[in-house]
Amino acid sequence: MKNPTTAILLTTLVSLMSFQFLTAQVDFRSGDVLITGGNLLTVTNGDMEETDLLILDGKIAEIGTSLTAPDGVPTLDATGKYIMPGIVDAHSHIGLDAVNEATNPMTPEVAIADVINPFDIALYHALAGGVTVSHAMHGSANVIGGQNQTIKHRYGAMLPSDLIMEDARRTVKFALGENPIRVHGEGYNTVPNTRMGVETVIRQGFDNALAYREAWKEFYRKKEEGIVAAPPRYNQRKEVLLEILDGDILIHCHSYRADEIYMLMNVCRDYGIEEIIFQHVNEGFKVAPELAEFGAMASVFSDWWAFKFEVYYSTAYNTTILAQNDVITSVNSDSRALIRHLYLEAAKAQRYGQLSDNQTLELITINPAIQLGIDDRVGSLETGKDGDVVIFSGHPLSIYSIPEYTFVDGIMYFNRSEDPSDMRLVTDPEEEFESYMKLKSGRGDHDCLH
Amino acid sequence: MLLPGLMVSQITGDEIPKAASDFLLSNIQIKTQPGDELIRADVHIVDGVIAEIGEDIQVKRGAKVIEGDELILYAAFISALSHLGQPEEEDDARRSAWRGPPGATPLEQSGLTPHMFASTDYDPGESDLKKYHQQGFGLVHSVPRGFVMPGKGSLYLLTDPADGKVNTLLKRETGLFAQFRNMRRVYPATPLATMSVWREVITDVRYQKDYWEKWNENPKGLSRPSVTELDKALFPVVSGEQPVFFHTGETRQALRAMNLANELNFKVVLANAGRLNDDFLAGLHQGIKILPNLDFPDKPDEEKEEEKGESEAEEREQDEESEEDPEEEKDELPAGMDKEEYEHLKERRKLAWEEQIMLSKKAHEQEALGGFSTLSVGSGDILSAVRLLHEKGMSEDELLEALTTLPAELFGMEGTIGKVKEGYQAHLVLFDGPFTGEDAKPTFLIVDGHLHDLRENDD
Repeated sequence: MKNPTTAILLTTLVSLMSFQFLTAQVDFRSGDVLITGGNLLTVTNGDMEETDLLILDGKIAEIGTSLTAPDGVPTLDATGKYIMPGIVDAHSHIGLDAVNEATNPMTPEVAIADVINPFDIALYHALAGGVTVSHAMHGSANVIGGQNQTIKHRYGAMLPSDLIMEDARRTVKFALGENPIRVHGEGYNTVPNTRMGVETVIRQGFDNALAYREAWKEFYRKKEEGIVAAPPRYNQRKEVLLEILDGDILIHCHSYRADEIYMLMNVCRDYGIEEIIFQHVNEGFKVAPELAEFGAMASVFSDWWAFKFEVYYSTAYNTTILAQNDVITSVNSDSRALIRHLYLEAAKAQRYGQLSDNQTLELITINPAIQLGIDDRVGSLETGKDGDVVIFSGHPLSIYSIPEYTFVDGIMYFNRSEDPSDMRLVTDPEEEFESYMKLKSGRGDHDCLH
Repeated sequence: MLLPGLMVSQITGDEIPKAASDFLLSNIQIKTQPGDELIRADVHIVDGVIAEIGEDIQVKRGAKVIEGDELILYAAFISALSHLGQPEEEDDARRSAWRGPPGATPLEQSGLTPHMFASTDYDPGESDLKKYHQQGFGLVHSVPRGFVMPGKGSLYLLTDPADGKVNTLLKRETGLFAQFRNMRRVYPATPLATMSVWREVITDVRYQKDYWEKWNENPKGLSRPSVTELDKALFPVVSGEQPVFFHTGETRQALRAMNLANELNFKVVLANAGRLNDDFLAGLHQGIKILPNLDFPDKPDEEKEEEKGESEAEEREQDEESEEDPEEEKDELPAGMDKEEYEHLKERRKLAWEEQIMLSKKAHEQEALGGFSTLSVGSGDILSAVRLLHEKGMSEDELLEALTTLPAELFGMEGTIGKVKEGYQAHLVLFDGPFTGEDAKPTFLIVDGHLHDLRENDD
């Protein structure tokens, strides 16, 4: 969504930088741009050398050779460079004021969309790593967590609502295993205290929601017959559980162990839920055929394990094994540090398993887009899709390449040659500058407990 | 020797002579309301009402006469939001009494107490009361302390507590005070769940209210409604009779409150607002009022330097000062930071400070200013904050509106308080000059027929 105020803000910000001046005479913040001569990695239609890409009004309008820019549309020469679709991170917690409502094992009623923080500098850092869209998720403290929100990294927007990706599919966080057991069973002495309890929480939640639906049906039936009846107590949690059961909200489930992954697929079958995406799924390689048979998808770490017992039995070949068993697989960061080089995280699947270049790029583009239900908008370079593109100095899967320009909706949000030191959107009127120096060091990571 | 009758009346208080309730402010400069020119006239106050404003008013013997001289008469100022008179919060207030599973916390024990009133424990201390008086305030909207829904606000006259608090209560229920402030270890613990609790509670209360009304109309054959005191307290909120004074310190909170109000169809006032950015103000929904917070951050050094530079432009470069400044800067430069970066950061800090200061003016321009909140500003720092706004461009009339007519309108009392006009209640303050003057002081305050002589209290 274009916001003229954003453009004004960025201009104001830049003009404040007494030691960095905007040297380009052109404005790459209008949503229109012609990128010429780059090597396009379309992901869905093969690679195209020395090809032009025209973005108009935030959408990819044309791909071809010798394109001309319409009047007023700036041109960016990308000769020798590589252009890929903006990277999609299917598991992230950046840009949020809160992550875990950890006070109940079931909290699907809460919504991450309510707590978006557009001022988080990590959004800018992510852009510097070529990530244009992230799945801002609830944490893994609860068996059934809150509703997530897919966001676009329109850094510079001053309203949380400006980051929300319009019409992105609704998703909800589930979490199995040690985290909810530790938080609730051990922490509060409530269910769940074992993996058995985790399953029970889900089944009981669904059963109670179905009974709640019957109570309301009865109320409305009476109403239609003109009978006045006391209404059941409205329950936001059960309303959302019903939406999950009806397939209106897609489950993204934090899980590690093969047994619990298998368990949840069985629960889904029992309740008629047909779609599910597992997150982390370190032992996915053990149940890859079963995942594929169900149609379940997986979003994994490249090579992160052994930080607790349930991730003890893992392998860096997990990504490849899943992909080669026809499970739609993505690689995610779940970290404000790793999101900055997610392209290298994906590249590890070439070292461990030798996925092809395109298969590897799919892990961070079209596959996570499918998992988030936004593949009609992003994830590949195709006409009609959003103008989310990243221009790399070399092939993105090379250790020597870095992102140079990042566009979201055809607006240049990151330019490595004009990268001011202070990109904060909001500062403290009583700021002690020593704290600014700490921020520069890049510390800080609040995430979903992993 | 005391007569028996008089002894009895000394016990009951019926015959204790009242303070004079007949005043004549003679030949005084009057600011009848913001926007009006000052007029000079007599003002006759009888039993707490402005009985007459005119020339050469004759009054009965015994009426207290105050010579106008150079004094200026204004309507007494109104604080649109405050915790004045509310008991201090216990140190462990955030710890709920509930010891069971956090997810099963009863709403009342998780900070939802809309059925509590500010008037229940209202007891302003003498010290705070004096400070408010000495800054020209005669009325206060007091709201209870607490968490998600602390309770209903009450509008009070700032009279001496010894006179009895019942008579000083103008309005018992102004609206619901709400916050994004959570107790520990109970649901809701974060703004995430606060938002969904609002959705659930308001939606549920609408259904319950509907049934409650039907049952009251004709209970025959119907099971008794299960409405609680908590539910009933929210009836006037869902019906739109009472607004929610939502404490929203900055843009994200304000947006959350505004979204809730829009989704759930209730009226909201953005209370104690600190920094609201321009994008938010541009998208502010029609009719929403803002009560800016007067608890301004300290003036940054760069602002002080600028003022110093301006005021001493004619006395440039006294040796001491020109030597001081570079030394100061050298001392302040944090490790690893160069001068250019330092100047840039100072500039940003100044802009951040200005953003908060300018909120009142911007809100006024959009006709969204509802009054001033004194919720978090120190009781003795209110008028100096108002004067800073004057320094930064708000006119005396605009400030007077925020202190009188706008809050009067907010509380639905624009026909009785907030102006110096015949028929209005006599809550008045006399300043020894325009109230925006740095050294101006209130000399007298009249509230509810009581005269407070502030001159002897001058510290």
